[in-house]
Amino acid sequence: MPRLACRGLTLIELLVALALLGIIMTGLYRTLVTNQRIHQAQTQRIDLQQNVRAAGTILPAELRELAATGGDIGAMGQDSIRLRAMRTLAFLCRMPPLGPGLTAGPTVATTILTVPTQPWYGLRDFDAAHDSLLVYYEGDETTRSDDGWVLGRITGIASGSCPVPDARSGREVAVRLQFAAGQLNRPGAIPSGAPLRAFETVTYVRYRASDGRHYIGQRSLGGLQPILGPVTANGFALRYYDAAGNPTTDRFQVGEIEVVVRGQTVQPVRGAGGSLVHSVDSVVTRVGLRNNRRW
Amino acid sequence: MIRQLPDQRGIALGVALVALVVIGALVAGTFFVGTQEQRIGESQRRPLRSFALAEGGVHEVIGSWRPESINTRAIYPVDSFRVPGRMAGAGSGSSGGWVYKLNRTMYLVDITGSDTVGSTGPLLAGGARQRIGALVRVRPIDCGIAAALTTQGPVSLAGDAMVGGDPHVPPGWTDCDTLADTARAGVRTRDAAQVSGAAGRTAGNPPVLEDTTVTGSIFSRFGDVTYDELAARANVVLPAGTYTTQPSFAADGSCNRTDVLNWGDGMNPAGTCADYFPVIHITGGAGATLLNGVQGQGILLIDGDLNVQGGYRFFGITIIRGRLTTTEAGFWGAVLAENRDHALQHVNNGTTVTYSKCAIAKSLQYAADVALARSRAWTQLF
Repeated sequence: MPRLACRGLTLIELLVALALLGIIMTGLYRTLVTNQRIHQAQTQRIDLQQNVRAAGTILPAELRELAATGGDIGAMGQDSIRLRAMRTLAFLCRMPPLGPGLTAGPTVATTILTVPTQPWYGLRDFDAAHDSLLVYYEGDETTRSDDGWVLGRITGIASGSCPVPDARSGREVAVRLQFAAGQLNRPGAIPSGAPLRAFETVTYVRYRASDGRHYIGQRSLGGLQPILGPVTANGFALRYYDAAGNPTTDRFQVGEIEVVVRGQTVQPVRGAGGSLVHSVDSVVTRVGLRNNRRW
Repeated sequence: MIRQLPDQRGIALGVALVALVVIGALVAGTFFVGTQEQRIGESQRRPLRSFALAEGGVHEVIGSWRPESINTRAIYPVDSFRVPGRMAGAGSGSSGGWVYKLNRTMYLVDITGSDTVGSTGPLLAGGARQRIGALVRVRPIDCGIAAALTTQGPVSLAGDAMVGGDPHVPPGWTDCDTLADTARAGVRTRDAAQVSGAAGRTAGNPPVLEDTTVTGSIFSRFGDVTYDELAARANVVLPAGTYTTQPSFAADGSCNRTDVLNWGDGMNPAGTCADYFPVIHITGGAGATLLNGVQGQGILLIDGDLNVQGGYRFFGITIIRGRLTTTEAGFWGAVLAENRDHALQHVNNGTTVTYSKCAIAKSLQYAADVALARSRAWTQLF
């Protein structure tokens, strides 16, 4: 057996090989770490984008349905707004008894509204604890100039049905109606078939939670619930414009609302300079209020 | 001399494989992120497009409203009106839905807008959907009715004729809106002195109203609608002539609305033609029309003169550009006779002209188009 055939590596060869392996392994490790960071950063950014995009969906859906001229905006600020959030649309199937002699007086009526469950649109059933009502006021049917809505407070809900031969099942809602100036508490002023909207009063506001982060929340009688976030300290801005596009501070004159949401990542991600920062993204939406009175 | 070993090993292949895996992972990650971005963008675009399609569909329904076919529908749940699916111009989506009649004056337009997945995607299938509702209300035609009979020029009342402005509901009619109904004048004219025989033959508040605003324009413009525009909505168009009109029925017993001499059935409120209120246009400004029995209802537009006799009854609004002559006739609602030539008009024995808000409202309801309700008309449906 030749001696040369059994020859091993020299120390130098071994050192070079170890050095090369070390370089390669270091590079590999750095690559994997970088990959992991990129993945984490992308996950954070995707969450962030979903967050701000949700803001662009949820808030405009509430704002579009407002009638500022009808008092649907209770209060408005730079980072909060109190509004009537519409929850249910239904229709009467029986003309409610009205009239000063029958009810509480010329401007107040305590009556029963019969509401079938079909057709019925909205997020949920009536909630007597949280909801109020707006009932369509027809008045004199030969003119549109007296049409409007009567505000009502729910005092009770029971099951019921429409008059025969219709006989659809539904709800009998006891309400206390408050007629506005110019509206008559008279029989026929609210006809069968009149639309009825149930709403709850909520406030959208930026707030700081116990974890130290800022969120956009919805405050109602049920308490404050986070809707989306985290956002930056100035991550919720509202600007109000009238029908002509001019800025306004009059809540009855609002025709458009601009919503700015600046979200930030939950975890810090490494920025271009190598430092860890919360990545920020924003969405700006301008919503035209669809339900303002037309004349 | 050192002999080269033929089986000397290296790690080039391993390094190359690892490098390929790493590079592949990087490329795959890049594609993943890019695809995610594209999908997020698409998922944002599709609801926006379907939302726009739904809103456009709602306004399309309102803009193309046909009173004669929609207003005559029964109230939900007895009836409803389907809005057929309609493709958007570039085939990018479609909209369609339903119209529900809520009561005499209100409708719910329920439209779903759908974004189409691809150019070959089926109608109303796939993609995002948004459902928009609109409360629309009948836009009443404002005839400015302030009297049972509004006219110009001389009028002679004779015999037991009676022109009354006190509000009445036609015999047997139900479901009438009488809210805030008040007495109108019996006769409203530019010059009360030209009304002869008014004593005992006129009633209302006042029995005869002298109003200098009674000019030609109040007979040709009714709010936003002109006489010609109203005539363009006519269900029945006939030349001036002599007619006997009465309800007629199809073989299955339904109201025969194709019969041009069927003008509804106001005398039988429970009849199958009771809810037929046509707009009738009698053309020919120089001609005279004679109605000699039996009855009609709706909006009657006469370009020329009108002569009514034979116990004829009409329920609704009668607008005459020429002059009016009646014997043994009855009108429920209101009559507006322009009497362009200021010729002598005769309201003779056996004639009653009775103001009726109910007859007016019902006749207008079936001729009127619709508009979004005055406030809170828009709603997102779920």
